Amino acid sequence: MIASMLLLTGCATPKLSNADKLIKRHPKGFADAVRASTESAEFVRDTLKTLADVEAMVEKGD
Amino acid sequence: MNATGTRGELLVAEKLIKLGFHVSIPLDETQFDLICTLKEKSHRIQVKCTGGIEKAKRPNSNPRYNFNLSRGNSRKISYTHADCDFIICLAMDSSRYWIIPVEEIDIKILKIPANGSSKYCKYEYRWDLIS
Repeated sequence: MIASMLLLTGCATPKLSNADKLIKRHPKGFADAVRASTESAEFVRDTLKTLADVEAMVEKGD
Repeated sequence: MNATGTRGELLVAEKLIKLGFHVSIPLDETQFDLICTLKEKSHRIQVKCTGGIEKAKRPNSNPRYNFNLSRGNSRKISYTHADCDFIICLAMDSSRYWIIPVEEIDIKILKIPANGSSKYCKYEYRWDLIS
């Protein structure tokens, strides 16, 4: 199942999951940032997406 | 994605992580927002959210939560299993979640009465469906 998802998404970063490590490490910080404003929520989303992109590059060995 | 959608997606990710799921964000443009994994079982999640209850237009009708369950701008298309496995609907004003298998959805606008019954009420807080 995961393999088919990887094909669908390019890569879903199943090995290096630093995004949810960060969220687990800073639960209140994450919750506050998501709820504080539209801009802070957009920033968090963009940061997580960027992190996922970088993780994918690392996994591919780029 | 609009601001409400972004916030809803992150709130669902936060909730899933609190429940012990591993959450991934797809890299490319996809029809799903998140992938959640628990015990090597993964599901593609599309998040839909609403800011709060809408008052009913007709008298004696229940106020309700409305969720737009279609995609596309000009031509509205329903989600299918080709797009995602589950749609998680979030009412942000009350932190209520409905976890609905995509194959159970045959409508484009989901209306859930705040204090009433509907076909979809049984999916509230059904995190076990994705466990």
